Amino acid sequence: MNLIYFAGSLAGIALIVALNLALFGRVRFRITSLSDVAAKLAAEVPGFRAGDGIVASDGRAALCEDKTSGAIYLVEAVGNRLVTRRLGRGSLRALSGDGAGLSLRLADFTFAKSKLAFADAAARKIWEARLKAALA
Amino acid sequence: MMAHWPNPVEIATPLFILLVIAEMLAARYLHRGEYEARDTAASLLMGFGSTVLGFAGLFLFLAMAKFLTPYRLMTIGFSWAALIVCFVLDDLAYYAWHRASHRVRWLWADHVQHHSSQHYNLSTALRQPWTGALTPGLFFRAPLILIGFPLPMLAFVHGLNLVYQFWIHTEAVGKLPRWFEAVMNTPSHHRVHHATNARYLDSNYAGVFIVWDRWFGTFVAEEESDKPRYGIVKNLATFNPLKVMAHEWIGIVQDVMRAKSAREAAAYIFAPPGWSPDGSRDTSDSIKARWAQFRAAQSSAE
Repeated sequence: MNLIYFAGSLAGIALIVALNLALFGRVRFRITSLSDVAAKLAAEVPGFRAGDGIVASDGRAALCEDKTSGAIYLVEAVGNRLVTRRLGRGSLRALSGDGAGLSLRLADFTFAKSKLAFADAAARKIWEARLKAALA
Repeated sequence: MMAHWPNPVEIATPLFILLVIAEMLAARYLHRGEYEARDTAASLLMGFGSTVLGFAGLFLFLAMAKFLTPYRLMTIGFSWAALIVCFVLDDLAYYAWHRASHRVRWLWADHVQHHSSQHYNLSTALRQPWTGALTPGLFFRAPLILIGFPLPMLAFVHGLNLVYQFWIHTEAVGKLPRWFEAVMNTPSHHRVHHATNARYLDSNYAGVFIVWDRWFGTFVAEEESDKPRYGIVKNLATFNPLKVMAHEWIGIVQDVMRAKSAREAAAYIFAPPGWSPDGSRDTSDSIKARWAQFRAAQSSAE
């Protein structure tokens, strides 16, 4: 690969990404209700039935229980799509709560540290306890 | 000799760029398809990296060819008939490699990147892996060398095959005339291949001719009632090309290091993606089985 081809390719990539931004902007999925989360999980997990759940105040993440299996799922907005993970034993490296905020670090290194801000500390404490029980 | 054969991918690259731009405009103004800037950037950078690092794979292929050439059954010169037969057989070799790449985790580690976008557009076609030289994938084309096809012809038809596969990565094209859908790989067939809906998992491995899937029992038609959802069973929460490239390789290394026996370690490498000793993870087979069970329960309840 010569230098001109190399530089031309990078310039082409920059051009296309710039055009993409100009045409569509920087679109970010915002979870507005648990039904967004339930629909995504129902599509991905055969037999999924939405149970309790909570959406973070910024609409970037949510936790949702599957009534069928009792499992808890983390649902995160990534770009304009949602990504889900079942939170079971071995899936979390760290879990900590502070005030209304819950921090999760997943074993899956493609996830950045998740910080879910809830409406109040009581809600955070309930979900932290549920997650600890699920992971035990 | 090689210099006399054009490189189809190099010739088609400007067309690829123009088509990506055209599809982007169609997505914006005609609402046919979808683009997301960071996803597009990741796909294009993956394609760029694949071109830069592709030389390692080419070097290994040439080394294999040098080793095998003395054992070839015959020496095939140029003729249009030979070129057509070579193109068809190369596509069959592609089918075999592609099917194995979805069923053997070692090969999947170098193919999962191509499936890792939740979008399906022409930029996805360019989301290519970088680590082909770390897999035995090139051996799938060894029979073509042993038959006696000349290397430049093999390189040329393989390039044509890749060029063909570019345009089928789109939501902008619906179903095509029945005769074409019956024989050729099309956007509809390939959308199914990229889908994670249980009904569509592990199907439509064809490169150019969909007849391989029809003959070998891996064909699934796209259904209006089940719109494809793209990506992988455990979608990635990143657009970082390095993480996209490495995630399955790292997963294999971590699993092998935790394995309790040599047999278990081997299964982590050679068994289908998602295999685990206690069955606690999902493979495409287990997802399909659960889906079938769920559907059966649903229909008996109705």
